[in-house]
Amino acid sequence: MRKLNRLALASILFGSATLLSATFSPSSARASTFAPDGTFQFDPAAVFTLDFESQAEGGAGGQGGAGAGGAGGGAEVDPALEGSHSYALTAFMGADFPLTVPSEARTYRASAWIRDAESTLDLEITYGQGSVDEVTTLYPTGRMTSDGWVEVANDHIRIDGSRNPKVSLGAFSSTAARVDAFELVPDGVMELAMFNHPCGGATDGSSCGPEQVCVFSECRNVGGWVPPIPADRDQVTRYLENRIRFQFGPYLERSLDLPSSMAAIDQMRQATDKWSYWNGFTLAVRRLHDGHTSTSGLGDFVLRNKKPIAVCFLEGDADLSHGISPADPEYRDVLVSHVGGDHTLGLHAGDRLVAIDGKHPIAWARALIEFHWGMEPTSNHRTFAEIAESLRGLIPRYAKEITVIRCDPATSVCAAPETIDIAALPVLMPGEMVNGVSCDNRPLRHLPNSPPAHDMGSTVYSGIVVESNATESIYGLEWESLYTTDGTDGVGAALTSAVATWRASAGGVILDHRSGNGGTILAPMTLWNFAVPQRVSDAYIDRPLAEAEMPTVAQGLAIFQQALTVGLVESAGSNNPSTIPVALLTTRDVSASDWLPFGMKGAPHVKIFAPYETNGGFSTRYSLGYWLGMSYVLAVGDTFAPDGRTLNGTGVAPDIVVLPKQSDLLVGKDTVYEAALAWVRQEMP
Amino acid sequence: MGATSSSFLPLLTALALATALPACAGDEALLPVPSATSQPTVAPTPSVPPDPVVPKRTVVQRNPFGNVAETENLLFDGDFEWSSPFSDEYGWFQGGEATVTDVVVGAACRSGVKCARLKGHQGIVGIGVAARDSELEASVWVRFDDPTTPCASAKVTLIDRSLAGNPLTNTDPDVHLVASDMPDQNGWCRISGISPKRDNRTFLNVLNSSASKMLVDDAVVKKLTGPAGPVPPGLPSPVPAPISSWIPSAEEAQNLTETRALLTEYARPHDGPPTRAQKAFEALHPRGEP
Repeated sequence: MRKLNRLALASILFGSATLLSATFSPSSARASTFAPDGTFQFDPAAVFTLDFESQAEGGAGGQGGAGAGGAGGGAEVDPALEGSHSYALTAFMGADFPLTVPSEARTYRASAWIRDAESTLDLEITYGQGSVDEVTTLYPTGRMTSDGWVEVANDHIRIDGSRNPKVSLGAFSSTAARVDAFELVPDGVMELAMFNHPCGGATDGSSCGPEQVCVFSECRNVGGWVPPIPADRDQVTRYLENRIRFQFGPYLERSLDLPSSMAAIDQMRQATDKWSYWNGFTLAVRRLHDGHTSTSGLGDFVLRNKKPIAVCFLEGDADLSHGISPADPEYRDVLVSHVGGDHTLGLHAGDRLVAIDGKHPIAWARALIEFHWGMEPTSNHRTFAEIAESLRGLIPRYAKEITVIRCDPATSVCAAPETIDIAALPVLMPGEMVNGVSCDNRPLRHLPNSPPAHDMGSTVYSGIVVESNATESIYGLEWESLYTTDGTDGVGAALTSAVATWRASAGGVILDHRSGNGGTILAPMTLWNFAVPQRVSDAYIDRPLAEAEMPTVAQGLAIFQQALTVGLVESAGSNNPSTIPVALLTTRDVSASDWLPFGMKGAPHVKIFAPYETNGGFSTRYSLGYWLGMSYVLAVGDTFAPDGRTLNGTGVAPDIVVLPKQSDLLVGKDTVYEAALAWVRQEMP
Repeated sequence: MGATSSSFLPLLTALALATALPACAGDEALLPVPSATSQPTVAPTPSVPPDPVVPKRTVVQRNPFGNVAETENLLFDGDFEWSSPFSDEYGWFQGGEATVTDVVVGAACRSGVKCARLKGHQGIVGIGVAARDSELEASVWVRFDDPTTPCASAKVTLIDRSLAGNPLTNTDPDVHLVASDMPDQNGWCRISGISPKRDNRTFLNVLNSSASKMLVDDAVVKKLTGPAGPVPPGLPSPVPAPISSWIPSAEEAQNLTETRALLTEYARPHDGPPTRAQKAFEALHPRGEP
C-alpha cells in the first residue's frame, strides 16, 4: 500500500508552497521525528510514505516489491521502525518500489531508515519511455537509533511532476538488511534553472544551471549524486585533502599533477552547492592523472546509455584524408576501427572522426574530466588510447554533433567532411536491442574461435592464427585479463596450456594484448618464463611516508640495490626461454598489462608492436566508497627499475611503432598485426 | 511469517538495547528525544531531562563522515566510513581478505556510522603511512560483545610489512600498544601508545584474542606534535611502549606472521575481477552499451 498524505499534499499545493519557495534554506527542510516515547513519526508534510505494513509494499516479512528482492522474507517477526513491519532486503538482491509524486515541479527531501547492513538506496526518475533519466543516492545523515536504525536521505531532489515521471525507490545490499519508513517531503520549488532544458552538448556552457550537466542533450540534475555539503566542511575537506596528500603513491604524478589536484580541493572550499563541493573532490582524484586512480558513482550503474552507437574508435594515421582535413599538430587522427550490426551512424572501418563539437575528438574528451566521473585514466602524459577507446560512450552522452569523413572502400576515395547531429539521434526504447560490438583496439580478429563481436570477457583465445597453417605454426593469443591468484585460476591455466603448446609446436607467436585490463604478476610471469631469459626486473615499494616525494635517480638506485639484497626485487623470465620469435601487441593497458611488456622488453627474440608507449600504471591501488554514491581509487605506491628510475607515469615504448592506417582499415587490413606477422615470419628459422 | 506478534518485538528489543547501550561513545550521547535534522551535524543535541517513561528507542546524531576532526590521520580510513562491499582492496585487511569483511552500521559504533566487527581470535590490519622524523601517536577503540572481556584481550601492534628488511631503510620495530584498564561507561576500550620515529609504511594490527565478538572503530595514527595531552581516568598513559619488553604470545606471533604474508601477497598489482556485490548490482542495473 502506498500512502499519499492528501492533507499534506493539499497544504503544499494550495497553502504553504509560496512560503516554502520564498524562505527555503537547508535548515528549513523537514524530516521525520520521534515522540518522547521513541515512536517514529512521519513528517506530516510528506507527500508519499512507505511503511511496509502490507505485503503489497513488501512488509510482513518482506514479500512483494517490484524488484527481485520480493521473495526475501525470512524473519518470523519484523524489526520495525514505523509500525510493525519493515522490508527484508535479501543479500545481493534488489528491490524497486514505485512512488507517486504530485503533478508539479518542485524539490523534495527523500529519506528512509536502514538496519543491519550498509544498503544502497536511490531515487530513480524517468521521464518518458526511455531508461532512467536522473538518480539520487540516499546518504547517511548521521541520525541513528538505539535499536539499530540508520537514516539515509538526500535533499533538494528535483522532480518535475508535470512531466508525469516514473519515480521509484531502489534498494540493494550485499548483506541481509532491513528498510523502513521511507518518506518524500517537499523542501523547495523548482526554479527555472533547475528544469531539464535542452542543451548543446558538454561544451554548451550557457544552457544548464547549477548542479546540472548536459547529458544526452538535456540538462540533467546531478546534485542528487552527492550528499549535502557537510556542516563541518573545513574539516571534511582537509581530511579528504590529506587522503590524497598522504596516500597517493606515484612520484612522477605527485610532481606533475598534485598541484592541479590541490586546486580542485581549493574549489571545494569555495563551493556554494553540493555538486560543486563533492565534484571538487572527485576532480582532485581524477587530476592525479594515474592509470590506477579513478572515480565512479552510482550513476555509472543506473544511468544507461540512451543513444548507444556501435562504433569503435582508435588512434591512427588518416593517410587517405589529410588532404581534406590536415592532421592535428598535437593529437593523432581518430579512425573507425570496427562497427557493430546496427546503430553505426552509417560509419564503417576506415572512416575518420574529425571533430566533436568543433574540437579534435581527443581534446574534446579530455575536457570532460571536469565532471565525467568515469573518465578512463592514463599515467603517462603523452598517449590517449583510453580516451579513444571510450569515445563511443562519451559521444552520445556529451556531444551535440560530430564531424566525420566517410571513405569508399572500393575506390579509397574520401568524401568531404559531414556533420552528424547526435542530439537528434532517437533514444533507445525499452526492449529495443542493439547489435553491438566491443571496442578492443583490434580492427580484426585473427583466431578461428575469436568472438565476432569482440566481446572477450576473461576468456583467453589461442590457436594457430588464420593467416598461418599447421606447417608454419604461427600461434596467436588474444586476451585482456591477467588475473590469476595462484597460476591456475582466472587466466592462469589457459596461459600455461598455451605456453605448453607453443613449446611443443609453435614456429612463432603473436600475443595480441591490445586491450589489457591488468591482473596479477603471476600471469605475465607465465609468458616471461616462456620468452625471456631470466633477469632482475623491478621493485615495487608502497608509499612509506606522508611526505615522501620523488627520489633522485641515485636514491632510487640505492633503493633498488637494497631491495635486491633483501630479496624484494622481482625477476622476469627463466633459464630455458624459447628462441622462436614472439611479437607482443599493445595499445591500451594498465598495471599487470604494463608489467607484461616491461618484462618482455629487450628479450632477444621478442618485439613489441604498438602505436605508442603503454599506460605506465606501475602500481597497485586501494578503492574506497561512500555508500556506493561516490567511490574513488588511489594508486598507493611506485616501482623502481634497476637503474633507479621510478616507473609509474612512463609507459613501455614499443620496439616497432606502428599506427593503424586509414587506408588499411578501409580494405580490411590490420596494420599493427600485419607488421607483427611479417616480423615473425622474417625471424622464423 | 509471524506478523501478528511482530509488533511486540521492536519495543522489547529497543528496551533491551536502550538498557544495554545507554549511550554511544565519545561525546555523542544517545538522546531520549531526537532532533529532526535534514543536514548532517556534528554537535550533539543538548540532553533532555529524563522522561518518566522509558522510551522504546533513543536517537543519536553523529557525523556521517566519521571522526574527520582527525584530519592528520595517517591511516587510509581509520573510521571505516569509506569501506564498501564493492571494494576488492581497501585500507583495512580482515581475516585473510584484502578488504574489511564484516562492517557494522549504526549507533553501536563509536564514531560515525560504520565500524568493523571481529570474530573471536580474528585480526584486522589498518594501512597507513609514517611521518618523516616524527614519533607517532596511535589509538583505536574496541568494544567486546561480552562485557566481561578484559580490554587487554585486544592486542594492537604497529608493524612493518616485512621482518626481512626494507629497501628504504631498516625495518621498523613492532610497537605494542597498551589497553585501558577498564572500558569506558559505554563499554569501549581504548588501546593507545606512542611509537618512535618510523620510516616505512605503517600498519595498525588489531587482534581479538578473546572468544567474544569485538567492534573496532575510530583508529588514528598521527604525528606526535607535542607533549601528550591529559589522559582521561582509566585510560592508559600514551608513553612510548617498552618495545624490548614486549613478547608476543603464541597467538599474537602467529597472527603477525599471517598478517605479514597477506600484506606481502598484496604488495603487487592486484586488479581483480568485480566483487560479488558489484556483479550482483550490475546484474540489476546492466550498464548496457558503454
